[in-house]
Amino acid sequence: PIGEESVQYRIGEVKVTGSQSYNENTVRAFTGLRPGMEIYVPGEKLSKVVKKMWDLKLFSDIRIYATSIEGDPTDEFIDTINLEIYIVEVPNVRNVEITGLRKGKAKDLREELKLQKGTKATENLITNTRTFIENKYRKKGFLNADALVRIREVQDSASENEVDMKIDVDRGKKPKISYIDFEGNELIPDKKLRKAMKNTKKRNILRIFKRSKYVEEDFQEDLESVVNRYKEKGFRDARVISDTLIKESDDRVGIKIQVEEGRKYYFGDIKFVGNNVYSDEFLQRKLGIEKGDVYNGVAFDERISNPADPDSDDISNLYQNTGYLFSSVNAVETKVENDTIDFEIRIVEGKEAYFNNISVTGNTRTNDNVIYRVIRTTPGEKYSRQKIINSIRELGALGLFNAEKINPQLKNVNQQEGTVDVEYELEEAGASQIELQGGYGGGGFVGTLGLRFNNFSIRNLFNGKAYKPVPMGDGQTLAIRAQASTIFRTYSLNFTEPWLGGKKPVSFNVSLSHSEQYRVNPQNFREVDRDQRFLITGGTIGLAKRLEWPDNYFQFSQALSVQHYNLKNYRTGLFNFPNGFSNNIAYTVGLTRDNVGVNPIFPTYGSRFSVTAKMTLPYSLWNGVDYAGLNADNPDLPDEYRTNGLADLAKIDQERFRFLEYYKIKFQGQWYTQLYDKLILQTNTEFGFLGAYNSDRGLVPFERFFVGGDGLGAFSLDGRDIIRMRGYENSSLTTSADGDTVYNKFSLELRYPITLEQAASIYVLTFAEAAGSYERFRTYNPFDVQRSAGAGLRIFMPAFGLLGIDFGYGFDSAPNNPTPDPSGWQVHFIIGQQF
Amino acid sequence: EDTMLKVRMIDTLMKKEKYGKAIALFDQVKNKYRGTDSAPDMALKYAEALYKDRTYILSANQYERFTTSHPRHPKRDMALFMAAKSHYQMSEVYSKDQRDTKIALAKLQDYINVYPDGEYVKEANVLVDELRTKLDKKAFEIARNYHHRERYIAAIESFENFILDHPGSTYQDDAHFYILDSQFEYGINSVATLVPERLELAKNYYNTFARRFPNSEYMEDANEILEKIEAYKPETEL
Repeated sequence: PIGEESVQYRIGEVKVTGSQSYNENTVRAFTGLRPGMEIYVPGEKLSKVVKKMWDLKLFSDIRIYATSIEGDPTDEFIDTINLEIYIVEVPNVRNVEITGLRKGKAKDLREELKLQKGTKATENLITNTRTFIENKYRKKGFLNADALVRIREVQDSASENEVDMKIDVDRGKKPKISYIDFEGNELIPDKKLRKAMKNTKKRNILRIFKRSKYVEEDFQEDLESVVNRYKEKGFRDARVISDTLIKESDDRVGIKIQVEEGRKYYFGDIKFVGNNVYSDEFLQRKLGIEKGDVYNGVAFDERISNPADPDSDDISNLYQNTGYLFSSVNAVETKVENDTIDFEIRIVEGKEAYFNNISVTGNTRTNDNVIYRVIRTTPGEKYSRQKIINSIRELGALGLFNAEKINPQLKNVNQQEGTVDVEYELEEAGASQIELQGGYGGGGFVGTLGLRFNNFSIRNLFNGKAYKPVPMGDGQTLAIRAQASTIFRTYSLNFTEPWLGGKKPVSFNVSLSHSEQYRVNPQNFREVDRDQRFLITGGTIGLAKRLEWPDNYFQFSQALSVQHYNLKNYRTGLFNFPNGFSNNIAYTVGLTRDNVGVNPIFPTYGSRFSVTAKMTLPYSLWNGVDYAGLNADNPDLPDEYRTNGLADLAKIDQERFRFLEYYKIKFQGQWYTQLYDKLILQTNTEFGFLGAYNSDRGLVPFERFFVGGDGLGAFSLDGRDIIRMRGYENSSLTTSADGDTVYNKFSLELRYPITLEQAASIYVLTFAEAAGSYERFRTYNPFDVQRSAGAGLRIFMPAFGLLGIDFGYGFDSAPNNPTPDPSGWQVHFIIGQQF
Repeated sequence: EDTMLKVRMIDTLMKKEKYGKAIALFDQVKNKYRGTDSAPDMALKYAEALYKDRTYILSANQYERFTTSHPRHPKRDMALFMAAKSHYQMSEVYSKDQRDTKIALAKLQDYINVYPDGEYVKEANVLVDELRTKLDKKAFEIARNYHHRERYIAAIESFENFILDHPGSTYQDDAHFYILDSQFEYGINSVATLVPERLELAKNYYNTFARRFPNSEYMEDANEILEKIEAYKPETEL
């Protein structure tokens, strides 16, 4: 009924039909068409309404009808028009069905697609879904991936307007690359160019870690690497002319790359312009490139500025690390003559800048002071990019924040004032661990429950508001652990405050532990007698402090430890009494210097020395006990040590061990030397000595040295030191059954890394060792040692720690061996940190 | 009918302060109300339940949406205020991230600007004061931490920034005193040749402090420092 010519009408009523879920009023309000309004038909207003509604992408059909026109079209009055807006809503997606993929993969894909119930099934959505899936698989090397997306109506009367989406994914085969051929390369052979391509590889059954596949993005990156390989060799003009992907079959493709090498260039004059702070000679040395050198565009650029390596020793960083935030360094080719290129390095130094405001955001759990104390950029200090980078490292090392997301932002950069603010954006990371495990070992079921909070706040222990769900934010560590089996129970608590007092990094540590061990029948671990037990209760308080003198690699530590041994009807080789107790109260002082680096798992340089002395008070000086007379053979033995007139060993030993009296000195030195490339030599020497203040009282049977074997301390009740010496059985170098009091050890170990990736570090080693263990200082002879040599392997994975195996051959006979045969081959398994 | 029943249930639950359950019911019925006349009231009630359930992130969002989708509703002022107050509730202790503090401040200010005679202006002002004081304390404590760690240059710089950036703060005299103390410690521990001029600067800081805050509780400590400055004898005179 609407003619071609535009006629003006007044709107009568507006009806909305066809809509199922939208309110009529809402739709009408959206169109803006109100009764009484004057419009032209056909006219701009109506087309705008239709367009506006289309733009919503909520409707698959929109029509506006004139249902009737009232009035006389021939008179001069404006006629009234009644409108009907007919809309068909785009159906909602009800179910998404994915076929052609395994269940797990389909689930992942569904999550990635984010197709929620109620998403509008528009054309757009269908094409987007399709391209998304195809791209996703192409990026993984499935060049022939194909996704078919179909929409099917749901004939369910209850549902309003819904459809099901069916996605059929055909990943196809992942083609391997059967050849990569180069054309036009005369000076660099195909093989070397292929090697430059880090991502795209020819198929090769011997290569395990990198599969041969074609991914467009990676391939483009590789083409750049090929050109860079040329640039490194002086071919400044080298370029890739064309690259062709040839489909050989469904699972084989070939690649042809055509290059143009151009000529070889050399560096000409290199001039520095604009430098006032540093002299030409100094910068020239920093640059390290001389006139006449083969042109190497890549290395040259890296010497000017290397954004990929924040620690780079380049000219830009030289300025950036000494306050020149506003500096810029640019190299410009000034002249190309024959094969020689002249450069001008243009430097704008700018004003020196100072840090002004340092701020931190995102610390929703951790208190400011914990963060600020490790940040190296402080207000009023000269700007240095290195300090920002070091701060990132320190913050990452705290373990409280997501190390990948530490983001320093320069703010309020003010060139006039020469100031800059730094805002560190952080993201808190989970800092608590729960360990709950059960296992079979040590003769029965062993259950462990451990809690570890790495960002604890002890001062908020009684502040109910701070519990979220535990008081956190002061960077303290609290670990609680309980372990139990049929034959033993161990409880421990450990608390560490890394900055006692908040002034200096003085680490304060308190630990408490209690363990109970029951007598068990060695033939049958189920037979446990809980009336026969051995209780050990102890605690340690320690302070460790990094020293500033002689240099800051030194650390000084002290600790006070108390241990109480209590035997209830329990016989052990340590004491002559089944019922009784012993106290071990000792003070330990240690000095360590450690500058090994960089990788703690595979150090390549530096050394580590430590001297510790552990000592008790010399009780025998004042307690008035006659230790010389305290033995069973003494006819004058006082009555209190006799039972029924006979000397009682139990009573004698109880007196001797009431308070343990000893001092123990240990020394260890380690050096790491780089012999060749990644081949590292570790030199190690150690010495230990346990002494007594009172020769009448004698040496304690505790705290002794056990030399030989893998060096793993399974269960050290008595403060013993277990010393690794490969090529011999565990503790076999020890001459006395109670353990020895003197030992020394020398070892050389050659290490070579196979891989030092984040996921796993692996290295191989060979070693030569010599160690000797002596019952008394009188028998000590540093040259009377046993020798061994062998080889091994270490694997470090963050989830498992260090695992290793060593094969050692002992050349000498172990001291207590009845035959003079050499110890021979021994296999040692290494678990845990032992470097 | 089912919906009506649920709505009545919601009212009972709200009265019984069972907000969690009320929210669960809201989630079931809220789509039915979209575009109807009772939508605004439902939205407000929903926001209230979220607020009282202490899910402030959601209540902030809900109130916020209300203010934009019902710009002429008579209770818009309340919603605007409650959106701000939701952020106020999320504001952390001064020593942690202050994102919500800053948002709450901006929103409270917004409310005060739009409804200068509004019902909640008094409360809004109280909250603004509290949050400002918190930000003052944060900046002050960061600066004081530099002083505590004996990073005196950083402390002086930070306290000077503090004085400029937080003019109305109650910590003004504290900051001036700490600058004086930092400068004194910095000066007295310097190489002998530099001590006199650095102490001279400390003395200037003392004068500023004494002039501006003669009644400060730090006056006694400041005087002690002044005595030490004046007692200092350069080694060169020996």
